[in-house]
Amino acid sequence: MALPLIRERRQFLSGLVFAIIGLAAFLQAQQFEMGTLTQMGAGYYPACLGAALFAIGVALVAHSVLAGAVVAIGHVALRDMVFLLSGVVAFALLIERTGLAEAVCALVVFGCYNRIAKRPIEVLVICAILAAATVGLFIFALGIPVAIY
Amino acid sequence: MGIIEHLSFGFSVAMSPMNLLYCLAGATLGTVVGIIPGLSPVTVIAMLLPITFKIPALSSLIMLSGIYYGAHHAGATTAIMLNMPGEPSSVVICFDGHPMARLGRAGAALCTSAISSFFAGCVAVIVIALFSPVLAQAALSFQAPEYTATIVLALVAVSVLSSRSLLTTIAMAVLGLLLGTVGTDVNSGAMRFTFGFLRLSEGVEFVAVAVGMFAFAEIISHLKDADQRRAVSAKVEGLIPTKADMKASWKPILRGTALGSLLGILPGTGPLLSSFASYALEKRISKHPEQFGEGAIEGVAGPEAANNAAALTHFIPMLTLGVPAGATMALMLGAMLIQGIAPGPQVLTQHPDLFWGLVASMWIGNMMLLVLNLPLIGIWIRLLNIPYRLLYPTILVFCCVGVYSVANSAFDVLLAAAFGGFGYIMRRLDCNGAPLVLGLVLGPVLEENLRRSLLLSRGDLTVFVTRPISLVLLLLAVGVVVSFSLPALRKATESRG
Repeated sequence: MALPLIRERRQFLSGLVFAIIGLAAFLQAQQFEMGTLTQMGAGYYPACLGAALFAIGVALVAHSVLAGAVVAIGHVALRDMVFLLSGVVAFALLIERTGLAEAVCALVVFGCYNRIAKRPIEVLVICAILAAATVGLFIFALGIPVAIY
Repeated sequence: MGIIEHLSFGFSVAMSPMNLLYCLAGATLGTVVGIIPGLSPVTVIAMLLPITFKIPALSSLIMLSGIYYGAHHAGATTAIMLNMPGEPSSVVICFDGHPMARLGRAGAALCTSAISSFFAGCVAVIVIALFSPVLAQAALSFQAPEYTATIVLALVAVSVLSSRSLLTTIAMAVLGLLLGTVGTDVNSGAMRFTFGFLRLSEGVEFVAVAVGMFAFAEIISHLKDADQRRAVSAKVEGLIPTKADMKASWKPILRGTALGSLLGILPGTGPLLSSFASYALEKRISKHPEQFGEGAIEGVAGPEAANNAAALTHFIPMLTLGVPAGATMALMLGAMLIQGIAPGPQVLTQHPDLFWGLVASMWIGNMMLLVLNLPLIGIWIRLLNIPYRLLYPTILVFCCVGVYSVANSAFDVLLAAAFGGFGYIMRRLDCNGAPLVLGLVLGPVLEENLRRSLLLSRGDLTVFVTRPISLVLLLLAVGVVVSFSLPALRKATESRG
């Protein structure tokens, strides 16, 4: 693949993530009052953390380029991740609009995306049981203020 | 009051019917969590945190800690029967426990592990009762610089010990600290990193981050194996160990208990490292080291005792200093905070019922676990037949509803989804989530103490090295880093040369 220079790929990418977040935090923190070491303002401590994170990220990137062993990134289950997290997002969007039961069903259907065609009845039964259980526990027993359906 | 009065007071609190019930619930749930692989105590505690806010503080802590030590107790069962750790720190039990099962001695291995867990648990409860008041007393004299140094030590130790790469885990801890700055600055009232979201003005919801980083990321990692079935023979015969077994295992149990109690107190080490250390120790001093890996009972008794002793003494820094020693303890601290209990050395004097009740409940819980584990072992082994594909939708749903119910906020659920994706990707990049969660919990405390220290010293940074306790703590942090990075350095140069 591309990037023949980089030997430790995982370290390279994580370093990049840290460096970017660190830099962004450092720059963002400039908007807040800095103050002095004695009388720190709101921005002093986050700016220091951002700078530290940036420095570590850069060090990781540098080390990954020079590292001895070649380490590739293992299998990333991108499809599993996208479907599962879409389910969570759907839950968040539905819970206040339609109600708990629909939100739970949407979450389960997304979460079981790889079996819904193979075992539709099983997924439906899981939906029904979990919707009933959460309605019973969270709405009737704990009293969270959302609609049932 | 002496220790006897303290403990009997604790028992009187913990023996109330409601607390006994929560203790039993925690121990039972912990056993289930420990036995089923892919269900770790951190995930389940993160999932249950929101529910526990609705029950009294002591009861919720009793239940959550029951899940934690119960899982450590029961994790060995899966390791013995399936050669697969039911809970991450029981991986050491696979080395000799499973060979014993293959030799037809599963019963003896299960019984030995249950007895050593119970013994270690009893000793560790006494260690907590004896040691905590001393530590809390010493900590009462701590001022801002000492607290700053303690937090730095905890963060450094957890980072160093939770992964091979020191830099990546320190970066995760710093990122956690940075997340801790989100929200209203207490000193000036300025809004930091809220990006216009009203919900972020009180800070990033810790439950959402924990559920995302631990529960969601874990489910995504395991999803590809969801259809796998595990073949387990549910038959266990001969639970009673032979006389020779007893003779071979009582010394490893004592040594493992001592080692685990000691290592558990130090931040970062915890149960996993303790059981590895005990295994290495038993192998080194054994007269027949060649039997290790082939089903040596010492290799089950010692590590299992160390594992459980450490799981309990792990509570000491969290309860006495308010500085959690690992990810699960960070979640416990979060549970205390939301119950309105300010953690720190004053917990012992201001909430003695909470502290001593919890300690006494640990002993009761261990007693319950012994009963749950030995006669009922057949039922628990049958649990291994539940496929993960039926299990994970339940975890997913309870996590989502739980996160929502903390503050009735759909935003928090979205936040958890974001951290789930981030946590999974970072896992694939070999970055551990534990330092981040610890950083998030300790971040605001660290900032406050840092700023106060420097205000008192008029901006003089040497305040941290001129005060003796703070100096010792910082030297310890440096020592941890040096001692753990040296072998890595050596290995790196070796692999290149």
